[in-house]
Amino acid sequence: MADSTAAVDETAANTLLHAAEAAAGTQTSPPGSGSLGPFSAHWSASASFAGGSVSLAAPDTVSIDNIQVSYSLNLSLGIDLSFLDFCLPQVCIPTPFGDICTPKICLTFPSINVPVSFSSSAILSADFGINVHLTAGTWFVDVVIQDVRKLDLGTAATALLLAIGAAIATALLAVPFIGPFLSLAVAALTAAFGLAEVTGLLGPIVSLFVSGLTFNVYQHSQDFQVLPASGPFDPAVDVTLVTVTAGVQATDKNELVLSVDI
Amino acid sequence: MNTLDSRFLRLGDCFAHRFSTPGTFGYALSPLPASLAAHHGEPPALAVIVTAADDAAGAQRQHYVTVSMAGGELRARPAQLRVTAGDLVIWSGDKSVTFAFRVRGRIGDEVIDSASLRTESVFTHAFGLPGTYEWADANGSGLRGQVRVAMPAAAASHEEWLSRLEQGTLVHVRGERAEPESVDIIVGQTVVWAVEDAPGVSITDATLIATGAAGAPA
Repeated sequence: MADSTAAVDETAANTLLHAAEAAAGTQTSPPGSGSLGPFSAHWSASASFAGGSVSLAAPDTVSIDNIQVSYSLNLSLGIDLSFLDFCLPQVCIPTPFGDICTPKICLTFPSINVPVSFSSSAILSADFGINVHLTAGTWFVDVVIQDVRKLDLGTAATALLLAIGAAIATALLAVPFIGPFLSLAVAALTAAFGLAEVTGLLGPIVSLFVSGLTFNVYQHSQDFQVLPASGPFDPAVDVTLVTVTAGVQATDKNELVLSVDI
Repeated sequence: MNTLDSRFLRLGDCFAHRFSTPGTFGYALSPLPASLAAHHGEPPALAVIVTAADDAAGAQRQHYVTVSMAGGELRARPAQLRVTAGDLVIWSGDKSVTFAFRVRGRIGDEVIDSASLRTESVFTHAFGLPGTYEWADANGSGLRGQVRVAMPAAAASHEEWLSRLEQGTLVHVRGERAEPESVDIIVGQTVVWAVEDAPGVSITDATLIATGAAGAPA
């Protein structure tokens, strides 16, 4: 039998969860790369978590529904514009020195990098397991994601598709001789990829933050002082938490129970 | 790309000169803004050989010299060109010239320099971006002007736009005056500056010219 036991019901568990989300702050992923249709894509992203509601299921499942995953994405698309290559026609004009005709001049358009900044949120519902561990003299009780039941990007893919189209148009405006081609060029480029390709790019990026998601709901020093010294013959009293276990117990209600041996 | 500056010829620019007197124009091409010395006492690698006009020779002819980059060097094709007095020679770069170049040389006592345009020289520039371009002489004279570049009408088809690109606009440069001083064109069109009686001017975007006191070129 444990020396000490603490229990939190689902209401208190929600409070612990929301505090853990706030403590986790904004997480940044390492830069990554992929593709968007025929174009290369390089990106960096960050995400934070908030909200959600906890339900507990014995023996050790913490289900959390509707966590809001707020993310920001910096995307750079590599776009080959060579399909726009064309030639300036010969220009003939009378001058004081005789008629002059310029040669036909063929222009090649460079590949460009189009930056896109985008922020949105997704809704996550998942089952978490409980992981208790002693690290560097501190006991941690974490809930660790085990099974993603739902990751809903909502309308983000549609919004990102629009943002990419606008970014392409802006980037093309700075390329000489593109102006009269602009609408044709933007239409041709955005036709090269659609919602499915954008979702295929966005989904894995958001999933990176979900995979291995861990919230720390409790931590305590293994060794701590419970009573200070109160005289030369009354030394301080220290306690060592020898073992800590955690699980879900179903009694009159489901509770997350923490048991400690000292 | 597409910077307005006759001192540095880029893709979309041409430099032309009418060779009115016989002789040999020995010249060099350079990617550098520094002045080029004419080659004294040695046969020039690049030359325009101007022979006397023959009454039977017929009308003025135009000759093209294409400048390209190969092996890290600027090359002219043809390297040696024979023309008749009164003919025009036009230099322009091809796609391999990714930066800029300058044509400079001498025929008799006359220096012909694309960075310092004198009488019977022509500079052309195709404008690729809309906007209002204030231009001036980076060599210090009071010559200046304006080119207003508009986007073609939205209703114009691609083919209509391409056909309009065949229409050039002429600006006469006489001394320190440009006539007309202001012109209006659409994106993709070419302006042709014909330099008559000028001491050696450039056609340069005014934003590229460093200014000293009172706005004068530095």
